[in-house]
Amino acid sequence: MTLHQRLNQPLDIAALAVFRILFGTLMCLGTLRFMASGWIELFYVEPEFHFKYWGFAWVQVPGPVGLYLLYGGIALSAALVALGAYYRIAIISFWCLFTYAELMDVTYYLNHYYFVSLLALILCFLSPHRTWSIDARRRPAIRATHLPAWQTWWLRFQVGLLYFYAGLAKAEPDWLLHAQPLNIWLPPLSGMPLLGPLLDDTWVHYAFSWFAFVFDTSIIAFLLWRVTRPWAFMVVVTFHLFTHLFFQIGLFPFIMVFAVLVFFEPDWPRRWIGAWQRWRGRQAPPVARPDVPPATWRPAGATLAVLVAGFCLFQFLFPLRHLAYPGTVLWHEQGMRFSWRVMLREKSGSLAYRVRLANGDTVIVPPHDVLTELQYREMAGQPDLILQLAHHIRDQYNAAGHGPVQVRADAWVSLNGRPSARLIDPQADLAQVEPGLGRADWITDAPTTDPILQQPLRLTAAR
Amino acid sequence: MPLSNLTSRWAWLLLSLALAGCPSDDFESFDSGDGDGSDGGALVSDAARRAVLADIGEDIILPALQGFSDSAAALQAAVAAHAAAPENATARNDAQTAWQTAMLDWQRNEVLAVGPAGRASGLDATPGGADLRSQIYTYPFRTPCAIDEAALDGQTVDANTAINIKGLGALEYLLYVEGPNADCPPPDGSDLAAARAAYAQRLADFIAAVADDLATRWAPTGGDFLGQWSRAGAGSAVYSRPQDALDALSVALFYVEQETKDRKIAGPTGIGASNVTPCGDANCPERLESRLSLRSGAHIRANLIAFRDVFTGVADGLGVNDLLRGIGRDDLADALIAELDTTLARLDGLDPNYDTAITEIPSNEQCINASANRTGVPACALHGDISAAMDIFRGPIVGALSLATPDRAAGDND
Repeated sequence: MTLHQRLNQPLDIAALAVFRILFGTLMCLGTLRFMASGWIELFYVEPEFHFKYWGFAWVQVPGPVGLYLLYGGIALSAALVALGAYYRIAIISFWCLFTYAELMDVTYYLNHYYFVSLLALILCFLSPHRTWSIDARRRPAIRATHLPAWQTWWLRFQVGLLYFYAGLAKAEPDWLLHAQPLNIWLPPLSGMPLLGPLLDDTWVHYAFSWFAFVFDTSIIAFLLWRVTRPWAFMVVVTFHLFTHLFFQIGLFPFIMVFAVLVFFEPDWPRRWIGAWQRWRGRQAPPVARPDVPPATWRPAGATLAVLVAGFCLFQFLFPLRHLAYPGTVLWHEQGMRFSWRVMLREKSGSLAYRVRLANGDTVIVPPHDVLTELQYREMAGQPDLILQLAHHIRDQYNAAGHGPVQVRADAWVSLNGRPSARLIDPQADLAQVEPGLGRADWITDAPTTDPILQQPLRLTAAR
Repeated sequence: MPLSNLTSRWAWLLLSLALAGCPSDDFESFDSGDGDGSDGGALVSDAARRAVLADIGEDIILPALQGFSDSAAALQAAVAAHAAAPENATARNDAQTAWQTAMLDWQRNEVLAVGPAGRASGLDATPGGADLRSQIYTYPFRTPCAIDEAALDGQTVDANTAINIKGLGALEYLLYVEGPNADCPPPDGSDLAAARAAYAQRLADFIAAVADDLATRWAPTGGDFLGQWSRAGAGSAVYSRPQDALDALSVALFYVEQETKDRKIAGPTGIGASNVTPCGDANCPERLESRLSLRSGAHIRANLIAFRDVFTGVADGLGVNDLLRGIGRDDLADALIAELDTTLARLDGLDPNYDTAITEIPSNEQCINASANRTGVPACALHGDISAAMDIFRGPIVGALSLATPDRAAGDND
């Protein structure tokens, strides 16, 4: 069988239809949760300054009414995706609105939001609405029982890539040799039932670190093999159950559990329905598998194939860009985002800017002047955001007639429990530094000391 | 080895881990009463956290609440005497003195807003919160003209009274301001002094009642919230884990960051903060917390002392610093204590006091630089000192102990 035939062989649509329903439902509920929690106000209304993604400064934060319309639109389009109503319009709308919302402020970047955006983009090109949907009910002409295999494999590729790179990112000393940051994060959870009492023990932190590394790097192989797939799925569920219990990671565990369902046989939902109907004494109607379409060259198909191949190649290469930057990515963060570096660092810092005015005077500007507590905590350890705020301060002082000013940063950061160290070269005039993709020589080298391994809590001075 | 067996072994490994996590006889068995754990005479894990919580609750929080309850009762009596003779200068002075004592006691409690004193709803809601803090002190909300209006109208005081006209802040205005307010002169023929004194009495009565309620809720002989606090994760209906109580305490301690540092110091000094916009002048004495009584510095000191006590423990009891020392992070504990002592020494060295020092700030630029360099203009250098202390707390210490921060409930991580 040629590659063309393999990619176009008909696979049951059922699994993708279920994925569409679960994805849309989860996104709708997640968006409603976001709105109900007051996060729109906290994230976007209260701050007077928003950090922009490089190249996306044009993405503006609308006013409160606009924000609620935006998030209302996300929830509505997600619900329509789940229902399969006006699917193509709904999923494109969802992708546009969701991605716009995520581009409004870098401070709130999360890998799983990026993953959602990618899944939505992929779904724009797939047709999981051709069964079990309002569209299919409304328009019999679009009904289908099978879809080309590439649609399933594209999703599998994206899910597999996330796990692979999340595992690869853990292959570094802090995670494997020093059990950080789990050594910091797990002990406070020791009040949990069952596993809780173990979470104070250092060996458990190492065990979890190594288990997560092995899990992330190998789980896709086990999911791809039919023999191990059910067991692998149980491990996936267990793993993400623990991450859900341990950490405040919102929808991420649910997204991943739903996403790995695409690794099962494409007709798994139909089998379950069949089993259910047999149990109720009914007979499920047989589904005929269409023939593999002949290999014919069509401009639209070829264009799509090139686009998909290009997308996959980009997704494979982009997370590796940190290799172009010397030093530790957890420290300088060049190549950190969009690379599936999940839960790898505990970073805390303090920051103040020194602004040298044109008349020679120096003014200290604390970031609290313009940032909320939440923004400050997130940005204090991220050099590109420190640079962005420096430019904002530069522009403010220049506009007030104090310019041209020089802006330097006193940024002290602790990474994974290490003693605080300077993150930014204190001599670097950030007012003159342009943001970009090049190596940032104004970021200091990462501390060479090992993280401090916190011991299991033990008090000998108790009264 | 067949791969299916391998994955089965993974499942067994997970199951084994889960079972290994079940409490066993050789773990958490020293004090069988509440499941406290020990290891060769030392407290470990959650038992250690509970011990710290218990000491903080017994030695610091409960005494602070009881102390305030007593001083609020004394304030109630003194204000009643003042209301009986509004023109009597001695009675007014006695009421002012009683207010100073009560306010100083309450400032200690400002930092300890866990349990019933804390927020009942919102992102910074605390377990067991009943919003009682806002019934006692409503800083920074105070509207003098509205207070006079309420006094002249003979308004009653209860839980639904607007926050800008009640609490210890409103009492300061009523006890320290004599004569009509130029912004809102009283109607001709009204007896403003008597009306203010009578309203002060209603405020003091209400504050005393809430203070008594709050102390009773914590007292072992009353609502025994102390028991809920001390038994966190071991039978507490409020805190399912000791870490939950420590998280609540951590968020409460951020009062020193957000209110003491930002609002009480950055605001009046004109430095500004995210929740306090600069006033635009060289100094902003109108933003002093207690500018009428000139007690702002004393109140900052009370905040800091309460914070330090929670951190170090008192009366040979345990404090948050013991949690750091217990995991080998003495460096962080020592660093914070040193910075807190530096801050307190700076505050004590202000001559004659903080309220006056604010008015002596020559320029905003010099103030900001004094804060950054921790030298120069004293009131501004104080901001630098407290910032240095809080940077250690909010960063490395919160990180090392995985403590909660305000707004931490907002958003997800990954």
